[in-house]
Amino acid sequence: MEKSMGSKGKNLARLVEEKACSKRLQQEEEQRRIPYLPKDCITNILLCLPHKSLLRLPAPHNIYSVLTSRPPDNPNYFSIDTNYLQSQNIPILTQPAIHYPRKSCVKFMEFSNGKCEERDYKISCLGKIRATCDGLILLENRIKKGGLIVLNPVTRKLDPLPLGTLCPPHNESYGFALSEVSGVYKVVHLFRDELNYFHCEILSLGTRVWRPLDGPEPGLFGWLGYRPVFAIGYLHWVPFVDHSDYIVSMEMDSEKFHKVGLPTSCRTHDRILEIRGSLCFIAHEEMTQINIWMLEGLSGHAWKQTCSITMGCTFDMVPLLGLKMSGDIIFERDEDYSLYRYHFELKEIRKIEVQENLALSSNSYFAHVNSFISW
Amino acid sequence: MSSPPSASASSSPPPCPKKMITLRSSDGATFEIEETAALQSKTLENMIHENCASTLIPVPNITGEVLARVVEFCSKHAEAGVDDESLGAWDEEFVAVDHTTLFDYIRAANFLEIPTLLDLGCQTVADMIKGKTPDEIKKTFKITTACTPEEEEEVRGENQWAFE
Repeated sequence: MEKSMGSKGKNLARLVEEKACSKRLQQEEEQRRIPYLPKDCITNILLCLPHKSLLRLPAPHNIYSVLTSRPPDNPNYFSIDTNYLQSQNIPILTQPAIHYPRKSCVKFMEFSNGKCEERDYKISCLGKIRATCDGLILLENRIKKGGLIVLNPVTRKLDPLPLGTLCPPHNESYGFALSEVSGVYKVVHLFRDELNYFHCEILSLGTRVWRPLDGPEPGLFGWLGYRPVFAIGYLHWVPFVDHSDYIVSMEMDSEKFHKVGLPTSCRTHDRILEIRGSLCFIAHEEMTQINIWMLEGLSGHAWKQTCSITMGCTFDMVPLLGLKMSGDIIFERDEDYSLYRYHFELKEIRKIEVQENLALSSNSYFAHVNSFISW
Repeated sequence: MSSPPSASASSSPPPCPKKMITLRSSDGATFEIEETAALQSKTLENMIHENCASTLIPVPNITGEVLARVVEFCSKHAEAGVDDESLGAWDEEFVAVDHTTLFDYIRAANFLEIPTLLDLGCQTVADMIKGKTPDEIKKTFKITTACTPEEEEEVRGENQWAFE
């Protein structure tokens, strides 16, 4: 009897000890954890961070993991659906510098205080940038012929796209735009076949299918060398290398092509740009004057000449982009790749101080904003 | 014979009683808050406007300790005549707490939709992250592991070509 009482007592003591140990482990585990934060709170915290801090952080998967102990819904990325950050000075992506072995890196240029500085996203890739929109980049993926990837360099979210129609790079053009009605980002692939007919296919981000579109009409396009511009709900192309009397505009919601007349003929150094929500046509008149025309919408609107630049401009200044906050325009001289900024308020053009060894043709630049946009 | 009317030194009307709302925390503690202060919370504001705030309002997600501080925050921010500088200094002191409590404030502000407290909390956390390396962030928030080695390998493997 005494013996059984003794062994029962030992068992009980062992059970109590095991329970105490388990509770201690649980408490230690809880101390290592921090309370769970809802995803939109994490969003708010990340929005308070300057982009430099974000770039130094590990992949979004780890941002989420660092801030909360609960594993994310998708361990590969943390997507934030928010309005994008409006940067005072729009960064411009440069074409990746090609290094052996055929790896490139994605960088951006930031304009501030009359200077232009190159900054690095520390992202390597295997292809050129084809288009940009709201902080998203469309990159070639040379691992797979014709392959494309959509990337947000700030959140590091990336998504390989399914293969579309394969064609040589000089016979195709990619556009990247938002359909405001559906809230979906779309990639538009315009290309020319061997018989010189132009075709178009479109892919909505989040789907895995390229859809063929009706049009464009034969004869509407002559070449695809100018990248399309997204403004006022349309993607716009200048369809000829010189003497374009019209642009071709595709509405992102209806996916229909329209021909839109230009106030003057578009020459080789002229361009269309998106500036502060409007479509602008920047055209050289004679050797030392640049006129800026604006179109606020396609139906019921006409081109209005908003201003002329008469001082400090040259015939070979190619407009690159419009800055979102100020509406100032960045130009590049074809002759020596030097950069200039037209200040709307001051009504003058000033040369931008650029770091050495940064001389890229205008085709190498894409307008870009750092954002948290996801799809 | 009727008594003469009593003469009073002043005839100012008595102050209107302030309308109070009662909140109950997850652990059963109750707190009273002036209606004007409760309007800082969009959740409570909606209930007040829909006449649902006359009885006790349960706040199941928030403990008594945290709710007490949230009530204090709302009351301070509803006070009249406080200049911005003093309020800023008060806010700074309010969020000078450990990160666990700070996260509690953020969750409470999110649940009760108090934009001022939510912004303050999130900015404070962002300031704690700003300029730090991932290891320093883990130390600040006392995180021992950010993700399992398997998860890290999976992410690295899928994106090896893309990221350095």
